[in-house]
Amino acid sequence: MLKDRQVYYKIILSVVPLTAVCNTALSSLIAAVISLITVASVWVLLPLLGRFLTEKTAPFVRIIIALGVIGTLTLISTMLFKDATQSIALYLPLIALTTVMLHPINENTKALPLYALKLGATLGGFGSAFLFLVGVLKELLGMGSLFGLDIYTKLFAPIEFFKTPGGALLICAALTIVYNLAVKYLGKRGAI
Amino acid sequence: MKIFITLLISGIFTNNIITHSLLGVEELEKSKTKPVITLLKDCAVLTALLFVSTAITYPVLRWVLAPLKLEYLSALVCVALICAVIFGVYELTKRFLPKIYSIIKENGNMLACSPAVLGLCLMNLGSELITGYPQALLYSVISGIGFTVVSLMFYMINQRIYESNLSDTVRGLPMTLIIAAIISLAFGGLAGI
Repeated sequence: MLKDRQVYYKIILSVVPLTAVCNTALSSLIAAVISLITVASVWVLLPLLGRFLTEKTAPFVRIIIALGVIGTLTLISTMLFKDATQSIALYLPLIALTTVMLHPINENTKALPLYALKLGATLGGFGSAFLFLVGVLKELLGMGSLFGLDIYTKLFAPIEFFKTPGGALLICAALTIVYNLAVKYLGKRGAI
Repeated sequence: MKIFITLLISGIFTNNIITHSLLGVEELEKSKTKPVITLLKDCAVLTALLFVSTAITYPVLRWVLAPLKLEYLSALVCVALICAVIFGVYELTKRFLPKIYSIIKENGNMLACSPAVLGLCLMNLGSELITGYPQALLYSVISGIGFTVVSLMFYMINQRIYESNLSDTVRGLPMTLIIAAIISLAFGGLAGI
């Protein structure tokens, strides 16, 4: 299942809304960490609650758990990085919907917690890494800096387009192509 | 009239729910395999959902949570209200409008879980354009129209691309994102209006 390209496409689609506001590497790192912890914790908690949940109630319980985790992490993050968190705070609750979008993957809600944690961490980790990379590239190409440090603005003018949501979409497309090429290459070598 | 035109241009072009806020991009990916009629029905369901959820959530967020300084509960309250609205709509349409129920039951759940619905409800509060309840309701309908416009544009572009000889690496999601980026760039050009 983890080798299935469609599963990873679904994860990429679930982080796309956040890329619109993650303009800096720091804000994308915050969003990535919150996303990873949320997805992993939901995947661990759901199997534990599995016996009490029905097919209809599971998605809503998943959203409520995710919102609780996101709320707590946002509060902590606001205390540590106020400016970076405020710029993305409005979009953070959307991570809760990420877990619903991943619902068809998580059909077996009664899976072992350790297996669920591994699966959640893998899928959440992929989404978080993708989100962080988009943030890094947006800051690098759009502002010419990385984590606030100037890289090349004295030599070249940064491309403003990459700061916009359209630029984020283009970066997402480029990263997806890189992912496809990597899968193709590793597939030929028999690594996956 | 001026406010209406501003909201219209903003909702459909410059602040489009898909190309500016990137909410509902996954619906574009799903729309590729659907016939036009189904796509239009889904867009109509989403527009109705945006309208109903804004109608319910905006007063609660603006006039209950904001005065009590409980904004941090906005997301939780929005999700609870949207879920309640959807269950209510399902039951009512099932009982009184079976034809409409047959349309919404197919994709209603997935559309309700779309980030577009929750995102718009949350963003209505922070938007400078939305100064009151009527504007919020109008903007929700306009956002739905904007969603429909982009979906149709995407569908038409995708029909042509589908027939072309594309590499497997680019076909699928990467192409969807590239098309959305180009539409976003084109709509962004209208920002000066």
